[in-house]
Amino acid sequence: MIELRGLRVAFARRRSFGEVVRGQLAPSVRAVDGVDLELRRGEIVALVGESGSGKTTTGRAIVRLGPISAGQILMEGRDVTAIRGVDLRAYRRRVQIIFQDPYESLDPRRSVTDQVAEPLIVQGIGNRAERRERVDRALEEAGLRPVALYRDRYPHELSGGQRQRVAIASAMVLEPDVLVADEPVSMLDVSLRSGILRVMMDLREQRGIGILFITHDLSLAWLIADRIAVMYLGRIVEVGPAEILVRDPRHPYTKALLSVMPSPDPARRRKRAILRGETPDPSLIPAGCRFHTRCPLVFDRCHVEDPPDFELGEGRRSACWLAEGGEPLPDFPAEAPRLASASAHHASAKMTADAASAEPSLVELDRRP
Amino acid sequence: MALLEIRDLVVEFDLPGGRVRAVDGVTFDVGTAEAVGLVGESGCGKTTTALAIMRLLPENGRIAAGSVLFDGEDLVAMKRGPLRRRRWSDLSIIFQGAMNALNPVRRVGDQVAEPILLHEPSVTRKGAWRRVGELFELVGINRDRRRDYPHQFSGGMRQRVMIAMALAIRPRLVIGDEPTTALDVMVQAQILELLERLRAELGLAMILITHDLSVISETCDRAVVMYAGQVAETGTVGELYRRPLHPYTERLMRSVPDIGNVRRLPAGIPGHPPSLVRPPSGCRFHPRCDHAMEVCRRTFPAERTFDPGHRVACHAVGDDGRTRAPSELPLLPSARALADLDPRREMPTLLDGAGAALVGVDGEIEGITAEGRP
Ligand SMILES: Nc1ncnc2c1ncn2[C@@H]1O[C@H](COP(=O)(O)OP(=O)(O)OP(=O)(O)O)[C@@H](O)[C@H]1O
Ligand SMILES: Nc1ncnc2c1ncn2[C@@H]1O[C@H](COP(=O)(O)OP(=O)(O)O)[C@@H](O)[C@H]1O
Ligand code: SF4
Ligand code: SF4
Ligand SMILES: [Mg+2]
Ligand SMILES: [Mg+2]
Repeated sequence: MIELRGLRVAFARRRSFGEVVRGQLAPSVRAVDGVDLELRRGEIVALVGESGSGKTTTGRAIVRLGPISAGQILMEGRDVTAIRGVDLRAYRRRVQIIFQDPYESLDPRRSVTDQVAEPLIVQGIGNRAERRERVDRALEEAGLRPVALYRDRYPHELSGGQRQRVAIASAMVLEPDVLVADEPVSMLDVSLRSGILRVMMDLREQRGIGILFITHDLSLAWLIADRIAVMYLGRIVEVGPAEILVRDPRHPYTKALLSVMPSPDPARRRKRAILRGETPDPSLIPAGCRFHTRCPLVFDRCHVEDPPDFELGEGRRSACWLAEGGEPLPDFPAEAPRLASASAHHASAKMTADAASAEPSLVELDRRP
Repeated sequence: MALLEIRDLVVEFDLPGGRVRAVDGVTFDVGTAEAVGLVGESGCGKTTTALAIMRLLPENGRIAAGSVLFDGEDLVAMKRGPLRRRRWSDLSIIFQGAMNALNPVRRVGDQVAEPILLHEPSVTRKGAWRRVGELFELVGINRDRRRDYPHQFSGGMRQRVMIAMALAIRPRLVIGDEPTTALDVMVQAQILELLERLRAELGLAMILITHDLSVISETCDRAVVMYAGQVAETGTVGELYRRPLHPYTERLMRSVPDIGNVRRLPAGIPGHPPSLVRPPSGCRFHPRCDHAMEVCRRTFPAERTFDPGHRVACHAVGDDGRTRAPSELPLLPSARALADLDPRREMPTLLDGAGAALVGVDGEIEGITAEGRP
């Protein structure tokens, strides 16, 4: 239903003092750097990645908030990358977004009903009575039942989970076909998450909407999504059906992410592959494979050549040279536990420069009892 | 004698309208080099317990009863002077969202050096700076970055700076209040691994506070499960996973997804923790509990110990140390409503006949009572 083709979003960064003095241009921040992704009707696709990897920027681009530098967004085959005015308004009716923070996305001075009715008024839909009916239906769908109990409340009279439901209702009141949900449960206690996730799964089942579920938590993605797309520094490095991707990851980054997911079962404390450092700065994307500065399986070729997407069948693809032959990934090399390598914590500029000589970027800690 | 012994701790806050008991009779131990998890939903008193241990409660809060023995000495009775010396040197704390607490206009290294200079008058400026360098390397930050300002660090690095600061005076116990909650999984793993290593290498005891039991299962030896200011259950993480006795522990345990296990939406916990201004009668969990009986509404369940160190306060646990299934119990109507939920959907539905519970769908119970009126 929605298709992204080579989507790019770059932000201009202000020049640093040094750059001004030297008369250099500021490097642009390549927040989204060539994303191909498809979201079908009635499908939940999870977009997973570390902070700063470009998930939100991708989500915002889909709902046509924020700039798009290159590439295309297609809805049902029609290019919507540059639509404006009436067309854009009609598009936004069909593609909605909910944000991470249920505390910030609601206006404290407006009642639940007013809040949820707002998009209808903006779009000029229905008369008072019709709007009221649609608001009630949306609240009900979002699990705020009995509606009479919640309709006239204000945000401060709601719990975090209830607020997130109001946010969902505001997005669903227009009866969109696509919902972008940006970290919808990250701010909530684990005990409250299931309820919100259940609402999304029901919306998909009953209304057939497509959901792009943005999260940094791979276990949540695995739980709720049909397919998972793993993002690293602005690019989707691996995509595949949730179960398969988790069972048999074909990108070292996915494999590392999987190994650090905590399990409630202490007997399953696993061998964790902890990557050193954090996602490098998107204004300094490393040459070659963008993951090579942190990859435990890095080899010569990775420093110079950027791997393309390799199709692996079963709807899977991976952007790693090791996926080229279609074999499973080798195990990560074992290393004795040791101190974090200081070089990994240098500024990313340095990380990139040092890459060739950098210490191994991985520590494995065998935690099996 | 354990390193830290907390006995019947009661903490109250003054509010304009009255008084709230945020912590109500909390008891647990932390041994040398032991890691104990403190777990429960938001608002159940975890931070307050930590602040009380540190004697860092806000103005309107006070320890109303109980004791906190550190190495046999009662911190509650201690005078401010000696207490201040112990803080940071014997026990220290990493606050929730601490990474935002750094002063933006001061060099990071100077901020870490400050407690050293304050607590150890014999240490020179140069000596403190050197110690900061060692601490930085300990937490995995290059010592050259002592001169940086906080904005030059990522969230994970700032959190590590806070850990360095908490370790500056070589404490024997560190409390981490949600030290990784706002962070990415990879950064969380880095920090948990760091704490674990410090524990092994320095013999550091640790209290780890979080709402996510899987984080505790990964890092701690034992867990203390708190609900509405009280301890529901205590035991080793293995026992709590394999044989949770308290229905709350069991639900909490089942709230986290476990990759590689069955792929099913966790049940979660219907409703939310009660306001502590007027907590529910008897067992405070009874409005949300699918095991609740009349006795739960009337009397608070006494705490009992089963295997050594496995303590639980619940009426549904028999003397044989087994939790009765809801089908074996004379349930309250509200509990029956919860127990009758469609197991596939695991969502409470609204029942509003006489005697039935009024349950908001999925999650949010609106003040159900045994009489079924909100
Ligand atoms: N300064 C205060 N004045 C009044 N009540 C307070 C104060 N601090 C905490 N409380 C109350 O004490 C109870 C426990 O709060 P506490 O912050 O310890 O919970 P918590 O488990 O740490 O929750 P969270 O995970 O949200 O931080 C809550 O009901 C809270 O509203
Ligand atoms: N308006 C903006 N101006 C400049 N940089 C931005 C802007 N929005 C996002 N970025 C940068 O783009 C990168 C990706 O951001 P974002 O999409 O928010 O990532 P995520 O949601 O995965 O955390 C980050 O480095 C961020 O700083
Ligand atoms: S291409 Fe090379 S560096 Fe990139 S993920 Fe694959 S092995 Fe690692
Ligand atoms: S069975 Fe009773 S005592 Fe036990 S948790 Fe439920 S309400 Fe509390
Ligand atoms: Mg984001
Ligand atoms: Mg807290």
